[in-house]
Amino acid sequence: MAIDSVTSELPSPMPAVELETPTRRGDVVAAILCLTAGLSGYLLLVPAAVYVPSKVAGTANSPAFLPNVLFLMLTGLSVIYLIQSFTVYLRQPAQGKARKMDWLLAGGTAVVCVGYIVAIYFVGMTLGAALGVAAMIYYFGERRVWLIGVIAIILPFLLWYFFEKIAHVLFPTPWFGIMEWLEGARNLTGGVA
Amino acid sequence: MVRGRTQSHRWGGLGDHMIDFDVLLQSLKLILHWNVIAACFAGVIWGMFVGVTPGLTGIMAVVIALPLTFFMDPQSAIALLLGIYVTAIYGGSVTAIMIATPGTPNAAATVIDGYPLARQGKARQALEMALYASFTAGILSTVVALVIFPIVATFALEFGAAEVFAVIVFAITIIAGVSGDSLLKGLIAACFGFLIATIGQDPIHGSSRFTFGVSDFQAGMHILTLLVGLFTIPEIIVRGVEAYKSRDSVSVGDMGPGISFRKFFSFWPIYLRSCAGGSLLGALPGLGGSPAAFLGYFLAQRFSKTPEEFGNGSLEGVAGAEAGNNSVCGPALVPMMSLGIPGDTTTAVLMGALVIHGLSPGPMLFESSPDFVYSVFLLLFVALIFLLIVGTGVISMAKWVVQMPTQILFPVVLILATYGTYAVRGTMIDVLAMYGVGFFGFLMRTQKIPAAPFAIAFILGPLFENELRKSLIISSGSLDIFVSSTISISFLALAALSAGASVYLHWRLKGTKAAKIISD
Repeated sequence: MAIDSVTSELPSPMPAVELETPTRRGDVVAAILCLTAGLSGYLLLVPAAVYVPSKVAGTANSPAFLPNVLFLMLTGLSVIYLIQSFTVYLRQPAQGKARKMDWLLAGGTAVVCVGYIVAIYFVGMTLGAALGVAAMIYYFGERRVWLIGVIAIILPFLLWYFFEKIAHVLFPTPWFGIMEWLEGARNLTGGVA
Repeated sequence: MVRGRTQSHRWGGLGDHMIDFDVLLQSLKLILHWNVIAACFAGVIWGMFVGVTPGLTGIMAVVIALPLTFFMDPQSAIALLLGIYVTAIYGGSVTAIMIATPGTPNAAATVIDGYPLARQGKARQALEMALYASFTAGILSTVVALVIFPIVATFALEFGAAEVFAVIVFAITIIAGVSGDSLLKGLIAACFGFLIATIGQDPIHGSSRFTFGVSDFQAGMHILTLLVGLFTIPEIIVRGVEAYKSRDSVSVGDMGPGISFRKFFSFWPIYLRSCAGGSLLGALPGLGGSPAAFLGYFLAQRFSKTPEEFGNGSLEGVAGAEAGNNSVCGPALVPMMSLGIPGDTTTAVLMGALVIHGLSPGPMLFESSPDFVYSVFLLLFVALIFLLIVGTGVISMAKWVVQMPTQILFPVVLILATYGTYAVRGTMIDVLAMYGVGFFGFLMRTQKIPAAPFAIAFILGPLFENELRKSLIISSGSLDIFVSSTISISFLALAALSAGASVYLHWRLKGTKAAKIISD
């Protein structure tokens, strides 16, 4: 079975990531999903979510023309993909087994990412970044707490300073505005805090 | 400044399009001042910083620096802005090669081969190739712009909507070339890319498409949001799994040896071809560097003796993409200086800067200040030389990135990608969209559905639709407009040839060793 050619060429010993090897069952599932996307897009999404002025309805100048063509193309290509992958699947149904663990690990990364986004909404970009980077580094296997702590403090601070103070990018107001509270405290103490 | 020098610079016959060496000498005197040179160097440093920072684009860098130019003389002002303009394009490729995150949209094509090279321990080769190709193509295209810019400007005027559409159709055939072993999967990915590009306001009628009443969707998805999501998030997920399983400190790879002069020189046909393609696209208003990079990549692959290496770490791919996007700089100034039409958004801001300094770009600029016009092109040469110096320094610093353990590098990249995506338009919707595209890109990757056709379709999709519909409006719905001029017929024929050749190549390679290499 072909395994992640790029990682296999690395000088250091790297564990193979089985997720990068397409499976026959995966191809069938992907083809079904693409077909569903194509059909539902053409039949449901375009009529519901594209506003077409009446004077151009049904012409090549309609805002719905290109999306319709693309969804139809997607449907056609997906049918070919489905036939092709299903034929191969019927011929050789055997699958690799090492993927389950990798899927779980990849799912874990996705969960940390989602947690990071939620944290941005709750505590803002800066503290969210501190929590996010710490969680991600820990999840990726780094166990030196002092190192995680240093990165989780320095990186968000530098980013906050650059984006907010130099580039003047306005960050979203968090539900718990801790940075704003700290800024307020600094003003109250005449810049000492 | 030399004013009202001669009448020989009107856009008349070909015989008039000659360089006036007296004026060129005057221009040289204009730029050989320490303040002009220092401004250019400062621009290069700032442009490099912005280029390597994901989320900060060249246009943002120019806009941030614009207020500073109010206090400068016109030469210093334009020197600063040109330094930024030239360098930000290259700077984006550094992160594209090192961490699979294009610093600017122009570097999207560089990721395809640059990052695999870095993973194979050939980061230095990829970075040096990118720098030298950028420099060479930049110099070549500036010479082209300087020598024949009145001709180019006149030729660019011949391009109407139908002709631009034909060029874009030709560029879209790149998709077949970057589809790997499965053209079918490449086309499916391209469909998704095109569809994502249709989100937002319709370019002609302004009606909403797939916005579902969310006002933030009206402007559509930003190109950088898509590129960062598509290339960076899947890489972070896969390397995260790898890092977790290794339970040891592993790094991205090794810098490896640099590129020899012999090897660099052996790619000269690539520089010439990419420069020709990039110069043409640069001179056409509104296209910008990303399509030029993909066109350069495509041309490099089409004429390569080893096309199967493309996508798996080909130096030719890096050279083609980088030469393509940097060839845009000089020619993009041509329509701006000669006709008053900016070639892309950044040149629009440059044009604004000239206006602020009392200079009106357009045919009269050459009449009134020919020395200033030449000095702008000469400053491009200066900026490119500084790019070479600063770029070499950046390459030696890049070893810190490759030596950083994956466990730390990729979480840091994730945070940078999030900040960068947010900073582009200051909205959380972009961040959510970036993660959405990223997870989708990861699922695509698990089935080897290639990301490059997705990105190309997204970049070229809006241009394709815009020019198609403009042409149809002009012709009242008749398709004859696409075969009414020699230029559009030529490009459509080239597109048909290119698509046919790609399909033939896929068919010929099927089951061969080369196909297996691509497949693996």
